[in-house]
Amino acid sequence: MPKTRPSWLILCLTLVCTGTALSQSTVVPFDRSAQGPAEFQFLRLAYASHSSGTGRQPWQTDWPDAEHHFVKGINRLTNIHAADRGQIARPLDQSIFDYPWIYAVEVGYWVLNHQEAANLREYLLRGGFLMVDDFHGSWEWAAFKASMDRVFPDKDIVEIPESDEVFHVLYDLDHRMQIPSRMFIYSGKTWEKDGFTPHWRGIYDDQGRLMVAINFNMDIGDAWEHADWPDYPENMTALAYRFGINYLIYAMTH
Amino acid sequence: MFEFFFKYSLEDYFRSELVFVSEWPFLLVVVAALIGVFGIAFGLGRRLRHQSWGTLFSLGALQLVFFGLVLFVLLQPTLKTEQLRPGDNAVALVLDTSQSMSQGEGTSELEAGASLLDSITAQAGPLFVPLRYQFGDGAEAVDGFAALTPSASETALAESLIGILESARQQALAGVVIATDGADTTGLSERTLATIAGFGVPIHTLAMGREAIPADIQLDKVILPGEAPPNSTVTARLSVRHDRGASARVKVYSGEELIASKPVELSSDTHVTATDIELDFADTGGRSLRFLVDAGTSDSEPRNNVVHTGLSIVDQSFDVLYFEGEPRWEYKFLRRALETDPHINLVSMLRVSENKFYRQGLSSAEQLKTGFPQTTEELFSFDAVIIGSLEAALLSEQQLQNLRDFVGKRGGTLMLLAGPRGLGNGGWGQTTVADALPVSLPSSSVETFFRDRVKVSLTQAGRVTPTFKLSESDPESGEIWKDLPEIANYQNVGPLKPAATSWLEAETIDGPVPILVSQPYGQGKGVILATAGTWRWQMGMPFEDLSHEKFWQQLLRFMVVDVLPQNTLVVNQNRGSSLVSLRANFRDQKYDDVDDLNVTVVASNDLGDSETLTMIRSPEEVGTFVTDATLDAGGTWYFEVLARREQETWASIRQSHFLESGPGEYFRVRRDTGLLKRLSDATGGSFFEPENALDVVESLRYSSSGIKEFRYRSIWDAPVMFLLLILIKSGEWLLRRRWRGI
Repeated sequence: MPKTRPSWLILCLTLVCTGTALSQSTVVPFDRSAQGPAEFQFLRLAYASHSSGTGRQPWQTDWPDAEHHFVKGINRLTNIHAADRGQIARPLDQSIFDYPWIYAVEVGYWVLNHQEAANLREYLLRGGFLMVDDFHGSWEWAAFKASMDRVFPDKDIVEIPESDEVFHVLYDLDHRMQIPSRMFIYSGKTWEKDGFTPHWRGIYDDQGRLMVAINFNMDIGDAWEHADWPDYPENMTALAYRFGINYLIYAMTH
Repeated sequence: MFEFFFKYSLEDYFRSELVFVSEWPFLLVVVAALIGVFGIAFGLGRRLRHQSWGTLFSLGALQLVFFGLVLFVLLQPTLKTEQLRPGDNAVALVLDTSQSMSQGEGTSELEAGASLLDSITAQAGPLFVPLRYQFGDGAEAVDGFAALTPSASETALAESLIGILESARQQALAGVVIATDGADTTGLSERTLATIAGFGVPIHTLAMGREAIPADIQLDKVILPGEAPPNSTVTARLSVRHDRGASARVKVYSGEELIASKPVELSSDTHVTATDIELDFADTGGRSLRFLVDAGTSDSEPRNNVVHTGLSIVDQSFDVLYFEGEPRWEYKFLRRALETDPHINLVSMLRVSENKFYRQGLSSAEQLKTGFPQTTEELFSFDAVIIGSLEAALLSEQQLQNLRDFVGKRGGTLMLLAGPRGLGNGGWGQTTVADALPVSLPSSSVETFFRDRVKVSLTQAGRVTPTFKLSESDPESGEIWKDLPEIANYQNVGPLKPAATSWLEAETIDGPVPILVSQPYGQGKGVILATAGTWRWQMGMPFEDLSHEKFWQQLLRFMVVDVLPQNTLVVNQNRGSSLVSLRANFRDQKYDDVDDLNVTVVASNDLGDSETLTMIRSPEEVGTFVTDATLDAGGTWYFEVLARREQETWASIRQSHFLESGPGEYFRVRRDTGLLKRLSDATGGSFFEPENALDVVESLRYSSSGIKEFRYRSIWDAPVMFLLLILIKSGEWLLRRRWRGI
């Protein structure tokens, strides 16, 4: 017995170290060969982050089902020729410039260093579009804003007015509601932490074009991911698709 | 030799009619002929038993020819020629005394011409009475040519000839002989030529001067639009005439300020070199421009190296319709590139889903409400149309027809973009629109759209045009093109049509393919951009880089800058002349010509001169109104054309034009042989070089105009007649000897 104790200890330590190492790395490297013959390809931003405490990198949340379902919706509901498979890129990766639309999830945990912020700023000023989603409450807002301020120290984050074209470009999204995560099914709460009120915020460029669509206190990605789950409310999923598609059409027209 | 045997020249025979002056009755001639034929036949028939048919036939033929020739001589053949009656006719001898006739080596062209005309008078003797004229800006009768000097500042050839022909109307004018270099400064239109020919008097031209003057380099003309929007680059095309190779420099002044300059190589292989120079104008307003070709001290006539012209920088915008069949990045970035151009109004319509269209850039909520324009009026309100990834079948046959007419009739530009549903894939090659396109698109059954990244480069044509320059400096522009990222996709477009020009091409695994092609079609032009992937130039370059924006803005300018306006005024002035021709065209919204209008034009300048003229319908072209104005002052003139229908203003045109003053003779130092030949051909006269100028006397002798008489000249006594008679009889004698005494 005394001989087995060190073996178990070593094994446990090895597992912990390996798990920690894996959780800190990008588990799905960018696959250039996967660039599909399509006009649009969903790109997920694989940013570095504070731990969300789930053992999984925050940027991986809902991956890959969210985009898998969303892309099917795009192909069915619009004339956009969208690739079936999504892509993943780091903020410093130059390949982001080949994808003028990026999705970033759980941005309450993201940490963009100055280089990454500069690259993202350059991307957005050239005409790229960023949709951020699934972050809640004042702590996550502060974390998100800290990095966003590195991207655009000179630009304000504002509430998107109802009249903005982004809410009307394909679907008229006059009646918006908080889109919750799947936990809503168990808890009955549409909010998380202290994020009781949903906010659709944005950052505009100097010509008044929306560059960053900020979906705060809501979880659109979860609604995409669980679109085929019978317990998840259909009206939430439908609205989530409409938001996603409007953001995309807006990004392809403005 | 001909004259020795036939008494007269071959030309005499051509000019004359053959008549018989013998008084023999016709019956007698017939009887004589019959007797002769029967006599020969009888004589030979008696020998039929002793001789072969061949021998007798040969003898009979010779005897018949001999008999016929004798009969011909007895009938006394004579040439009947119509020619001038000496002393009863006049011939106008006209000498060009314009300044261009001062040219010449040793002897001036004027002196040479005067000498030739005097020689012609001497050679003609009493054949005609000479009427002597000099002409420059008009014709004037003179007593002699000796004292004349080359001083006229214009060569108004047509006007002068018409004056001479009208003044000599009371006389029997047999012809006009004009000694000139043909360097007309006022223009000789076909209509004027027809007026001159209508007098029925042949005009014989003696070509003076030289067609080539190696010592002189001349700026022939400058072509640039009359108007341009602010902050635009205007391309001026200069045409330089030269008869030798040389290096020169083009300079452009706005007022006294040098605004552009570039070297130009004048090749010895050609006589006219065209060169483009770009001019940048930021602010609105009129510009007085002076173009100069500086050829150094070796130029014999520097006064013809300068051309003045004017340009108005005015706020004007162009309407462009972009119809896109599917959301894609090119749509977004194309719109963004053009958003900063205040002179392009881009109205776009995007098929977002199968049954939903999204409209942007509308001038009103009603615009394009029913989709792609249904009527010609709606479609023709645009200056250019861009069609994206859209299957042709989405449009009706009428809409496709309208689209073709948009190019051919309206004079707009149609550009088709690449796409999975565009160009060949979209079936555009099988539509009526295909006629207007610069390529023969492949069938829709062949996949032609590829999402492969390829590098784009300028073709030879693309490199020399300023349209695709991404920087002011050529080398810098070349570097920018090299550094541009690959485009995201391309499409095979099939072979280019003969009139097409390829501006951009891409290197693919299958070799180079055209990316940007255009061709004129009717009044407009068709363009193909075989990619929808230029957006990578925006996303792949620093955001401060404006290459993508510049490319699209310049491409759009290329598309719209020369579209046909609904109403047009063309002002034409011949250099050195105060006579200005005005020509206005009016079209309705369908671009059909309109001519039931009353049209007036007011011409005014900054000096306070003003003239109001009525424009009349052109008898030759529907919807065209013309008039001539004599505007003596040079500088900028403002023309305001007003077209009324039943007292209501139907249309108006405002336009300014810079009129040059001063002599135009320096620009006409070379002989215009083509014009002189045209003039003589049209009037039934002849063209003569100075060395055979005296031949004009013979031409005048047989002139189609004037008082004429018939002249009879016998030819029965021509040596050839008697020679033939002897030869025939000698031949018969030789044959008889050979056949032993028959």
